[in-house]
Amino acid sequence: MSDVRKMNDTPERTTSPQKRDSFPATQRGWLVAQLAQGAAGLPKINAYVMQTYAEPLGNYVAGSSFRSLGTPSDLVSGFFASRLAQVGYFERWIESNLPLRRWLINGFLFFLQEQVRRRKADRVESMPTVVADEPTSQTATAVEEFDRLWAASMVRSAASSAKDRCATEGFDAHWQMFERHFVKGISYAALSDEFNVTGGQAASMVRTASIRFRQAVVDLLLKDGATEEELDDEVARLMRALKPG
Amino acid sequence: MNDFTNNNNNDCHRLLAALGEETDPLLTRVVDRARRRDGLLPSREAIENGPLADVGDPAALFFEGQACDEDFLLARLACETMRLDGTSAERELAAVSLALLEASSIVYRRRLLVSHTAAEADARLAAAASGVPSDWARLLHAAMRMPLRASA
Repeated sequence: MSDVRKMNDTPERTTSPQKRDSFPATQRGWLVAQLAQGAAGLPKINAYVMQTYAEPLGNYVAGSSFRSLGTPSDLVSGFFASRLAQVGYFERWIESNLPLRRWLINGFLFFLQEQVRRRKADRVESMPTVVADEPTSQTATAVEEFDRLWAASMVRSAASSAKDRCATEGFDAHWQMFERHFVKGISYAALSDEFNVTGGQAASMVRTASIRFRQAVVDLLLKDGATEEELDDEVARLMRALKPG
Repeated sequence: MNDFTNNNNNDCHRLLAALGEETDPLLTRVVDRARRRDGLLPSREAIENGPLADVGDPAALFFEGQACDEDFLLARLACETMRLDGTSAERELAAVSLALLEASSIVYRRRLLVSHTAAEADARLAAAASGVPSDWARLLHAAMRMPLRASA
């Protein structure tokens, strides 16, 4: 018996062992490893998903005509409560071969559509008519918009994580130099004056922080479902999504 | 849940761009070895007997500033040839030598030789400075502070 099946201890998770064995575990990394732990792993997945995707999902709904359905926070919480409790929700994501963010925005759009239908059924009067058509007619736009929001959120999260790691390792100045160089466009020459180091030391220190930022981005992309081979393409896609103008 | 504001996409885009190569990848390898202190870096002897020596004494020509335009051109060609055809170590030496030529051109001619922008030159010079002996590093650091006349 495989480790994945051996560790399944809930009845719901032993109903389709063949499918579980077919999951590309090496490519889905952390989330699959958590799924393999059954009931023990699921809370970790749910916590990770809520922590990582709540902000971009909330930003998406705040900028859409769905915002009249409720506060972004309530809608995102409702979505998570509805979907994360479903048996096999993440197994179905793995079978879909979609990036997790794509799986979640698709699910979120369906959830919002359900809310619209429920409101109609309850004869709620204040719904704008455009809302009813949005999930089907504008799914591509929604996915594109969500990619942009998710990319920004992911980069902020990776930057925060890399900054914390630099601080832990005694590299605060390295991170400051990295940010000033790449975000503010400060030259190495100016950094060397500002931080009282040589130009060569400035390059070396910025590189130290840059490597930690890269690792943080890679960790998040892998958790979102990208494979090692797809990382460069994913970064390029996210850069296009974030491109100004 | 965090706030749902979203006003720094440009910063995020710039941070993602930091994942790309900002200078010659061969120089990035030099920076990494200099950081880790776990490998050989170009020695003074290697630099002064490398592709820069094809046109004469590198110290006199490029460190002290006796090189003429033709010297720069020929040395650049020698570096680029080695960068294309050399062994791994030779290719790194060629990349470092190109940075030194760039520095000499900036210091003594006030113009770029290899890079297309001041920012590109800044990254090239700083990266090379992390892994060369201190005397040649002084040339690189001096170049980083020089005003430029025009781009290459």
